[in-house]
Amino acid sequence: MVSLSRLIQNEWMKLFQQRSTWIMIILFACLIIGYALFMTTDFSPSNEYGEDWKQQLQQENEEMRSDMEDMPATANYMGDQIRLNEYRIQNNIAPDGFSGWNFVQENRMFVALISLFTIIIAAGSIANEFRWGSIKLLLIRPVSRTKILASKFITVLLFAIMMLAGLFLLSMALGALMFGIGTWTEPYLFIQNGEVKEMTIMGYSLMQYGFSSVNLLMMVTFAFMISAVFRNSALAIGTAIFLMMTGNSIVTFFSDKEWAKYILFANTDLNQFVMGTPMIEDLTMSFSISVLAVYFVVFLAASWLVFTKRDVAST
Amino acid sequence: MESIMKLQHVNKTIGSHHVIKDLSFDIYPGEVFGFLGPNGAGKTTTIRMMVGLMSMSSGDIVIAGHSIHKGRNEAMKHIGAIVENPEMYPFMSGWKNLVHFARMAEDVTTERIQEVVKLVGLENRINDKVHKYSLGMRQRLGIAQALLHRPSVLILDEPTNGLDPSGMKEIRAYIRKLAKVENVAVIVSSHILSEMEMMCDRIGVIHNGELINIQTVEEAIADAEMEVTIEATPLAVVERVLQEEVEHVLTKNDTCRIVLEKERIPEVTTKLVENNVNIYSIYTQKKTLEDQFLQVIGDGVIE
Repeated sequence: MVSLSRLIQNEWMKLFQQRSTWIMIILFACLIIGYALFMTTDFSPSNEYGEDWKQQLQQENEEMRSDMEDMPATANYMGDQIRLNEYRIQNNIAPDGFSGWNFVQENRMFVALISLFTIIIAAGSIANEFRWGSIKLLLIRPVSRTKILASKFITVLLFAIMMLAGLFLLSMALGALMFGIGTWTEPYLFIQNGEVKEMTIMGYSLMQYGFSSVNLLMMVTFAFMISAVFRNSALAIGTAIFLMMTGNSIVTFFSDKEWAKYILFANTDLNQFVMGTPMIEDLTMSFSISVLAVYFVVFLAASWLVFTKRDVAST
Repeated sequence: MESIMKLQHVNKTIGSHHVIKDLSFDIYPGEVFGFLGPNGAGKTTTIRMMVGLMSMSSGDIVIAGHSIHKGRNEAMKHIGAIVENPEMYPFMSGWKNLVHFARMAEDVTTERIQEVVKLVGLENRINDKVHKYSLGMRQRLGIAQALLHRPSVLILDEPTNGLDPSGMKEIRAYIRKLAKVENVAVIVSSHILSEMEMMCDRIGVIHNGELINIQTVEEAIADAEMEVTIEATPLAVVERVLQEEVEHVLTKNDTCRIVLEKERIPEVTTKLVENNVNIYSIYTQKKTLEDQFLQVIGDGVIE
């Protein structure tokens, strides 16, 4: 039996023998470093708190209370801020301004870029074998097509994990270097169901990266399916990116429909259950996870069915 | 002798087209089998079914005792193949390509890869990227990847395609050597008959998805009909006598030309003599395999 790990080793080798993979990685690293430099020069945090931070926070709260009366629209947000500030004063947790941890959290936006790169790789992983013609040499080995498909999907996931870990670690290193990371256990405060909650910033950051990866996983699996079914990488990249960008609008557009909660994109943001209010009211965390699981299985099953059953005819 | 590969009533229907019709034949170890047919006759479809790239609509292919339906992986262990062009990964070196395919087989050591590289004569260029290779070098690399795991059946689709004459000669010699020395069964497909005559022990002719003829090259040559040219007078009598014997008589410049099996030449000559014609000469010419091939496939129209 040819082991799955040897096939993954093959896929990994093919991935990194292609120049485009390296271009993506280098471009990505440059962007993060560039962003760090940009943050240090242009956005030095202005509102530093001194020894008298408690009074400063009190003052802020009073200002916000008076603002709330003028602008009722902002009441929700202001109310949350006031509650956070009060919690800080009561529990003696000083605000620390902009630290390396904030940088790590801001860099969550780069997860979208990782999604894009991984979609490109997923889209090519099957379609390119057909384009190169190498599929005819790949599928005449004593290895089942299921195993080959699995090795390709796992390799795509490994690439995403590598990029996510790289992003997190590089952000932490740059954050520490340029803004300083005070402590590993620095508390992070947030509001959940109107109550102030506390979490270590490290745990909170990891959780946020994890939530961002849900959308990545779904879109990458979708691109992988299109690639397997239509054997066309451009189509896979195009549809996956289009859906990724319009996903929220689709949900908003259909939000008054009964079935809107079954739309994939109504469920990809698990953060909404921890940090805010869900887009559609009767959604719960477990419901969303179930819907996601169903989509995931359907995407993979479609890929598998087509890849293992269809003839490889003249290209 | 026990066959290494058996095709049993293989059929393939694509849409409403019945492209392969009840194909059955055996391939034996140590022989070079030529699979001959015009483009579009079903050669490549048959080869794709042999290597499991395409499914069969009905029938079975058994390789070294393993049915492709039930024991695909076991069957594939015995097969090395190039289907159409040898398309490898262009962005990797020849060596990395071979390592890639070696990982997909069991027990292919680095020494074996080196051995195969030497065998196909690519030692000097094996670390170059494949996109820099000429078609001939790609063909060699293709053969190398097919041989890595010491298959008992080697399937080569148009193996001398794109090679220069010396390259062709080398590949032919190499294919013969593999069959004779290593006892590998080699299946070669081609639409060029002269090449087949030089390389193969047996030839199967496929036309419109049907196997219409299968025989050894020796038999084919022995069976060949003769083209007989008779110079005799009076020509009108000769023509009349010959027309009783064969369907077509071509009369031209005081001679009659007919196509006849070798055994019937004395009989026809006697007939002529009995009719009191003056025979000046009878000469014969063997029809080539090429002529036979064209005759078998008729006008070559693909249905």
